[in-house]
Amino acid sequence: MAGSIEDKLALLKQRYTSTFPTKLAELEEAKALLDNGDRQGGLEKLRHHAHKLAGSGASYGFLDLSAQARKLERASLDSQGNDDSLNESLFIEYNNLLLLLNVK
Amino acid sequence: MKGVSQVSERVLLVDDDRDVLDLLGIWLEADGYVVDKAENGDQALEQLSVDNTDVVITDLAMPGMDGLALLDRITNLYPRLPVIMISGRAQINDALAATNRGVASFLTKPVQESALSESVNNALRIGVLEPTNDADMGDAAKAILHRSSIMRSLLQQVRRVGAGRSTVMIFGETGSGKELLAQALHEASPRSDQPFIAVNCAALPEQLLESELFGHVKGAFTGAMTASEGLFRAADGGTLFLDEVGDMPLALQVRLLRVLQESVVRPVGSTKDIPINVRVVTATHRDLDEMLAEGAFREDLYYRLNVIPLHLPALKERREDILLLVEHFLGDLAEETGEKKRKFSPEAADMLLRSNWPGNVRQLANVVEQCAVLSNSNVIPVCMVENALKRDKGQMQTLEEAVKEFERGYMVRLLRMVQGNVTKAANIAGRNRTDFYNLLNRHNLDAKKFRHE
Repeated sequence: MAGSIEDKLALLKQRYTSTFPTKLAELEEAKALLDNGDRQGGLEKLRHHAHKLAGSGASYGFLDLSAQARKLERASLDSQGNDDSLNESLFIEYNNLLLLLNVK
Repeated sequence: MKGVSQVSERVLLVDDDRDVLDLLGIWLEADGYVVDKAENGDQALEQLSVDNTDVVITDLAMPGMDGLALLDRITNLYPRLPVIMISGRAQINDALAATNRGVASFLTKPVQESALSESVNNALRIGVLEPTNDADMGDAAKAILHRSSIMRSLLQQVRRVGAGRSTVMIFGETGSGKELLAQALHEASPRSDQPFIAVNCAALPEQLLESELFGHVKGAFTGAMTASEGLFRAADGGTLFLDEVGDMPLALQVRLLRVLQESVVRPVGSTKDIPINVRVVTATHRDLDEMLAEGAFREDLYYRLNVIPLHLPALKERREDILLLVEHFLGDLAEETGEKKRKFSPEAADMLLRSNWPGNVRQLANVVEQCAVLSNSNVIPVCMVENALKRDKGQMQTLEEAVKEFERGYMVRLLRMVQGNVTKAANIAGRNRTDFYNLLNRHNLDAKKFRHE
């Protein structure tokens, strides 16, 4: 029985990793909304996707992914609370997260 | 890992993130739970309506109905169902707020497998941390820890009865907390800022009890060097609790009846009646019907006292409260000793839950204390509960067993005192180090374990 749980976990991790391109595309779509002037919608989507990645990554063993996603979530929240301009760190954290997803 | 029951408990997982749902699902299945999954609050409520779920684990941040809204719905629909809340660090304040709304516990994302396992196990054992809904009750009612519906109903009764003036008789086994209930009744009454005085009628000889209750004038009897106002007058305006009233001698029963009928008290040796305004609450563990039939208790007094009967259940009738009480006692002990709070192993907790507790809450408190004091590790094993229960039942140990137990208890206390320093411990015990190490081996004790307690 222990083996079958291990198998299930390995399969699940494989499936999780296979969704990285989709997750990356979702982040890019959110960023595109920002680029097209939908500030509120873009930030909310970025925060949402980052939140999900932060919550799941480390549980699957991707600690760096969770940590980076959390930084982006934080930066999105900070930008949502600032009406004037987008927080500069938002783009840094966004790019860093994309980089991590690309190399996984 | 599970320990309370052999039957698989059912866990409902709620998260809009499929990745989290699947991973947590596998972890819980590996622990032996049956897992249902829902991707939003509505699905979760639908699932709850068709299956007997034992615990719900829900994410806090979900689109539509979020975790807090789901918690509120579940609390209304299934008040006894424990809910574990999972939150990201960004929502930590919301998660903390959830602890005041009846959540069993909360976990922070990313969730660790061991933390999840422990939370579910605890939620199934300990259940919901009740939101405090007895804010208008006094300290005594708050001290009556409970999550059982039978105790909840009783305290609601106390709240209603407290407002009136009727005499109340509390029926309950020894150790079930009759005095605490009487005090709760007093605190729920308009007399709460007046005295509450308790006296055990079985603890005093007749003449002393008479003088204690009704007072006496100077010189009323040999040794009455000064006058005494007595407990009825001391409780004037408040409540007098007469515990074990079934043990009151017949002669005093007549005097008590007069006090109740006429609201006056006449001190021993006096000819003057003094008006009093006291609410009388009584309790007994004796079968008063039998005593009435035998003529050992006055029928007219019985009906005066038993205007409103309150039945305090035995601990075995409120097993849901056992682990809550255990947690409380362990917490108190840790606070008193300044040591780390101990906990019972799953098997030990199971035994606590299954025991019959003839001595009720008082016996439970004794057993928990014995186990916590004698245990040399933070997790109390089942054998310690077995031994404590055996001792508590009054089963005689052999001299060898008693000596061995004393010796072990002594060693544990000593090692704690010197924080595992064998040289110091051996000196205090008056043994050389070799002898002391032999003793440690004999009792399977490891001095190192006491160094960081």
